[in-house]
Amino acid sequence: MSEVVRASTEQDADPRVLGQAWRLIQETKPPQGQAGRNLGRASGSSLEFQDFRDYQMGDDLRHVDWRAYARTDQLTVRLYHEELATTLELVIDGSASMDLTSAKAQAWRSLATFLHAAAAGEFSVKALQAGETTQPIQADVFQNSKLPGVHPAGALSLVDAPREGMLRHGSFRVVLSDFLFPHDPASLVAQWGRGAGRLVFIQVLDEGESQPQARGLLRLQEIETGKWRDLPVDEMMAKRYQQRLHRLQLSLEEELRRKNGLWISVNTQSTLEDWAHGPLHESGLIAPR
Amino acid sequence: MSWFTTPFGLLGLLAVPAVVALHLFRRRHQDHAVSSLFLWEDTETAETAGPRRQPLRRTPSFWLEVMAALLAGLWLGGMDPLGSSKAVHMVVILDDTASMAAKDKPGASLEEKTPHGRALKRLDSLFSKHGRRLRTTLVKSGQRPSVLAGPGALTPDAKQALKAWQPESPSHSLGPALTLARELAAGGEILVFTDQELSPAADDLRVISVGQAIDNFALAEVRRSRTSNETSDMIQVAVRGYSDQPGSTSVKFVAAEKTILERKIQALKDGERSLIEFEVPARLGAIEISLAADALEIDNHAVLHPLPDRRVKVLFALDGKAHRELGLAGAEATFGGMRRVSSAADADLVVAHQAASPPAWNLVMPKEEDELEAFAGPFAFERRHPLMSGLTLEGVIWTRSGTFGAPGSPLISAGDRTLLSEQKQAGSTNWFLNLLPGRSTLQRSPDWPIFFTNLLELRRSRLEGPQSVNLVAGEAFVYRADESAHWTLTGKGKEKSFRAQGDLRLESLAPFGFWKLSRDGNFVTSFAVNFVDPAESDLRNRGSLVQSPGPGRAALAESRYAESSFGKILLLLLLMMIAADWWVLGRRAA
Repeated sequence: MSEVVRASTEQDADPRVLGQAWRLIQETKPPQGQAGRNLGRASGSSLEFQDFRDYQMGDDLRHVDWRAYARTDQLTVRLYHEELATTLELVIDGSASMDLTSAKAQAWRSLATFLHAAAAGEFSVKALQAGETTQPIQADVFQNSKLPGVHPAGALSLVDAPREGMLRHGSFRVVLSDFLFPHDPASLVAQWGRGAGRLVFIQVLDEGESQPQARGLLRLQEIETGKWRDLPVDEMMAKRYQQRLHRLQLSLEEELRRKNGLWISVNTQSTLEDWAHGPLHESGLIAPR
Repeated sequence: MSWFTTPFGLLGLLAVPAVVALHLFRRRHQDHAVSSLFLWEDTETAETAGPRRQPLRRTPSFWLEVMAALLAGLWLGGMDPLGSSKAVHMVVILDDTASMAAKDKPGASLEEKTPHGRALKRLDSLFSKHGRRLRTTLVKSGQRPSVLAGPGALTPDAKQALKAWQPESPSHSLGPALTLARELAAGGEILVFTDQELSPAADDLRVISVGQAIDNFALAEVRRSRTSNETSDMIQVAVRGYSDQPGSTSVKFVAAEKTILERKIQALKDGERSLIEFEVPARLGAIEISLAADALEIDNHAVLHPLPDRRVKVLFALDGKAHRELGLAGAEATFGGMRRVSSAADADLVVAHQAASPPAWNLVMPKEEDELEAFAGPFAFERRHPLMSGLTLEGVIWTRSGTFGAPGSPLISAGDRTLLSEQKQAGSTNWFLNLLPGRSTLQRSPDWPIFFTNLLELRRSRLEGPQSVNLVAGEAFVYRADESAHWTLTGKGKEKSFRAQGDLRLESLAPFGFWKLSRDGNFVTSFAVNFVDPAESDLRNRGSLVQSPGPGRAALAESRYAESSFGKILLLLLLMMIAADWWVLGRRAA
């Protein structure tokens, strides 16, 4: 396993440079329809044998090495090299809430640049901005971590954003959003997971969104619709909000796990390098090169 | 020196602390953008406490609202440091005579074509010209002038008072009103609104004549009197034509909703008089008299109310000889205004040798006797007493009884001998006439019917009831009464209630027409007040002219009336503050 050197000023570190130290990992079921050209490092269902490991609940019984079971009286499955998708679809939520604060705006841009850089060499990257119209983002935009020309300003959430004809079958699909909109987790996952080789939802939240503080009387105004509500935001109310946010995150995570997907949530309290070493790496999305 | 023309308006400055308090205690919600409300929406929002004082946030809205409240207070207070230090005081005399309501042409409305309407219009323009610095005192002329608004009323109050002004007084001098106005004006200018072209005004007067010369017919006399037979009334109505050219009109008499007489009167001019006389039964009710419509409505109508029976009921209880010698057998025909009765209980006046008990009044005379005293004069008598009115006693031989007592105050005496005395008691009066008619010549002299008529009139004047029921403009209504009572007077939608002790006297009743009087809730009489006033009916000498005071006074008045535009600037700034606050709050909400 390669060593990763952490930058001293993580917040200011160039996401592209940082991303080049990491690579994306696929370890899901083999893609359907479109056969990959590469063998993945994760196990899959190709005919090329890779390794053995102990049986785990949910493993395909066809891969159980029955002979080994007869010898050892332990269920062992045969691992094969996975057939990997070669395309990373990086879907960026185009609603205005993504730029709610400058920290949040910088955070998801850095993360997108980071992922773009981490995918380089092994994936062809297709970036999309999902909004009123779902549009591709040119690759050269990612040369600048500020993603010039990409300005989320729409009012449609990912539930309603058009997708037809824009998504590639069997792709490695990573969706960047705050996921702070009313939705049914199952439907949302089904919508964006349809045809994907692997589906990853990465939630990017501002500090105030993930951990709101008691701030007295607030006129909360929805940035996308202009609707507002006057509320006394005390500790109790902030706590209830966090509980509801947590339930939302759990429901999405559960639904994704059920679909063999991956849920990652980051917020602006931490730096990109923290995310890389933390949730991105620990979830198995990335690994040091 | 004050900068404020309406100091009470400064109470509006209380709005400043009110605005501050509102900002201190109002719930302020800090704007906070969120990605979505749905995670907040079903949270509990009930608050357990009311507004609490919070640190004052000096937002643009706060300062704009404080400034607006400050400007509003100053504006309401009439702040005007650039203008005069005093409010202008305009004292106005309003001629309240009925001719101010004369219409230029029949059918014109009161406001459009009358001196009254023109006066209101001129006043309205003066109110507008002088603005909010104006204080007005309105004096309504009359025999007893009254202050209609003020002293120093605000313009809205003056305008309100003017709405109630309906000129209908009989003719009177403007002198008393001028005296009152001068006291109120304290040396300032006085405006006089009248329909007459007055003689050159004094220095402090600006006379604005708003009249117009116009022809008019009027009821100049209306009278109803009882004829000597006591069964019929004589109606006498005179119509005068106040025009330079001969004109015609018609007069109609209506009783019990039936026309009893209608006459066409032609070719009246230069104040000529046409008299209509006719008799009606005494029992006939009220008679309404009306002339055809012309310039002045008020002098076209009159009512003649039926006359009450005011004859004095007299009991003659002298012995037959004295009765004959005094010639009282035909007294009813001789004196009139009296009615013979046979019982002292029914009598108003008893003529007898012994005084009857009250409430009857008595003329007591002695019986024939031997002890006599005769006098041929000179007689001393109290000439100011009503009984003595017209008496001379010249050539009279007066023989008296030496034993007849004459208590009370002497009215006629010869030397130290009292011949007639008056004794007043509670509720009645007795006169003691020490006269032996068989040996005297008084009853055969012209003084006797005069004396007896005076006696009847004096008694009649003290009978309970109205002295007259058909009054003319300016005449007082008098109801003779002894007891204290609660009176109610109603007429033409007006009702007055009052308590009076003894006689009731009501001066200058208006409006003209029919009135009813009740005592302690019980109807006692009705009467009519008619506008008969040739001085007001003759409109030929009316005119329109403005007689200004001298140049110096006029200039002084104009400069004192000047008002700077500071108030308008304050108002403009106030509106700007409100608009700016509106804009700021609108932006915040957006």
